[in-house]
Amino acid sequence: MSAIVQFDHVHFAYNAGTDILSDLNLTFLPGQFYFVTGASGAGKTSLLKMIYLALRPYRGTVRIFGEDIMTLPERYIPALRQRIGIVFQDFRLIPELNVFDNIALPLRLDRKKESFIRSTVGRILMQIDLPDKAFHFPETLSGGEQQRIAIARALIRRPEILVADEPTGNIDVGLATSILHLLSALSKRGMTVIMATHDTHLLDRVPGARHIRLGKKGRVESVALLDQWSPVK
Amino acid sequence: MKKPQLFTFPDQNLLGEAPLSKTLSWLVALMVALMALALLFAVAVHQRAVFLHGQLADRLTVQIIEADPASRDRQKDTAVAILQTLPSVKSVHALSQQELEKLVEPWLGPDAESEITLPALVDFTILPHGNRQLIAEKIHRVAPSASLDDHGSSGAALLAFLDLVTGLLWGVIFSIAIATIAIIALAVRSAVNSCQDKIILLSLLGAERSRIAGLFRYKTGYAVLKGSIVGSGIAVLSAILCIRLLVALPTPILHSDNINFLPLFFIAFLPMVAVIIGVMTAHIIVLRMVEKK
Repeated sequence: MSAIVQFDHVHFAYNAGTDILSDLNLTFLPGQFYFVTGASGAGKTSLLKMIYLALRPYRGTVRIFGEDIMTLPERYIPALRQRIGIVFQDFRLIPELNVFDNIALPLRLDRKKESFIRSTVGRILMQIDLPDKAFHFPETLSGGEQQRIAIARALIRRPEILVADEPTGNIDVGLATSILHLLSALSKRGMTVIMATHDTHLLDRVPGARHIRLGKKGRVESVALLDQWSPVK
Repeated sequence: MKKPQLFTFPDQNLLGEAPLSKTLSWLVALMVALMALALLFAVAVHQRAVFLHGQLADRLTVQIIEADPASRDRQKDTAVAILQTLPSVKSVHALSQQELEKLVEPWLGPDAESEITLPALVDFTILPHGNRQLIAEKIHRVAPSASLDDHGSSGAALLAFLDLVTGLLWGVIFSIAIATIAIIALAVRSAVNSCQDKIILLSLLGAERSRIAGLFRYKTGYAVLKGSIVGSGIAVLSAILCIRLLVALPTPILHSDNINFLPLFFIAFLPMVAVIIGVMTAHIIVLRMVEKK
């Protein structure tokens, strides 16, 4: 199986001389669920940002869908990003737009027909169990509801890769588990899910997931296959 | 309740409420009103200068100051005859007694002719390169009491002043145009700065740079269009009011039959020009800012 994301000897630093990621080598395969863990500052978010092309390494090679992002012309980046769904740690919902319009944003950027947008957003609102909140504004919703809207927006295009930065960081255990079930189901249907988390208790909730542990300077400490299922406590 | 909008476009709500400063429309209205008024004033002064130039240039008057009426009339007739033979003279008109009396009546009253001796006047126009010196010599030979007034040279200072005023007004228009562009650019830059998070989000969601710039183009174009329509309206109303006041003056500076209303129609194009400037400025600024992200 060919890699959907490939890191080869990747070095990254925000400031010269202070590497966040150092000689990182990783392979992400299609349809797999990946947990990325590590201490604060281990480079989890930088790794995710590189996958959604918000950062570029100063050395090494990153290939997304087989494309080397170092040599990829700027004009091809939007098309690549359209194949990646992103769930941000801070949700990044547009406060002036209601729930429906926030979720519909990627489709509107793609200039999809309004009838298609209505049916697709309606369906995903049912999936995240918020059909009655379509015309509410984000500030009136709880953290968990906002998180679900952010996930819905990331999934609305049916991306090939879903990158999620601490998607369960602001929600209760029950909701976190249901979100993990949703993401797990999506990965079983062929979507690659890459989720950064500091909460190692979540790892045993997704059987078959792979666990990448980052150590100092973003070096990979271990990659493990998680095949033990632990029920919700 | 949402305010109804004059124009709508498909993506107008993609960024939420208008990210542009609400003062942009009013600033543009003010600048466009100033620019339109300066433009109208410049065109009016230019029209007046052209009109005066047409009236004064190449126009001369022979003035025969002679106490003896018979000699005065003889010299006048001879001067007219000589002028009519000269190839560089286009037209000749000897003023009748009634025309003379009408000329002096505002200053000397209705019975001036019986109290003072009026000179004989012969108006004539010459071809653009007619030799004034040669004409003057020929007239002096047959009419020794004649003197020659060259209206073109006596009005030259006024025409030069009007030209200077017109030039200055064009300078003012140019400065206002530059200031308008700068205001639009600053407002758009400020809006883009306040929307940095949204721009980054749209970019990460896969929006192309031109698409993001397009959203700001729409918003800017709409704000500028509103402002420039209001500004042009204010300018046109002010101009009409000024013209009506000037025409109604006891000694009219403008005769209503001399007013060319065509420039008022040019004002209608100012909003379009302002929108094009605004949209282009927004496009360039947003593209540059998105490129840096």
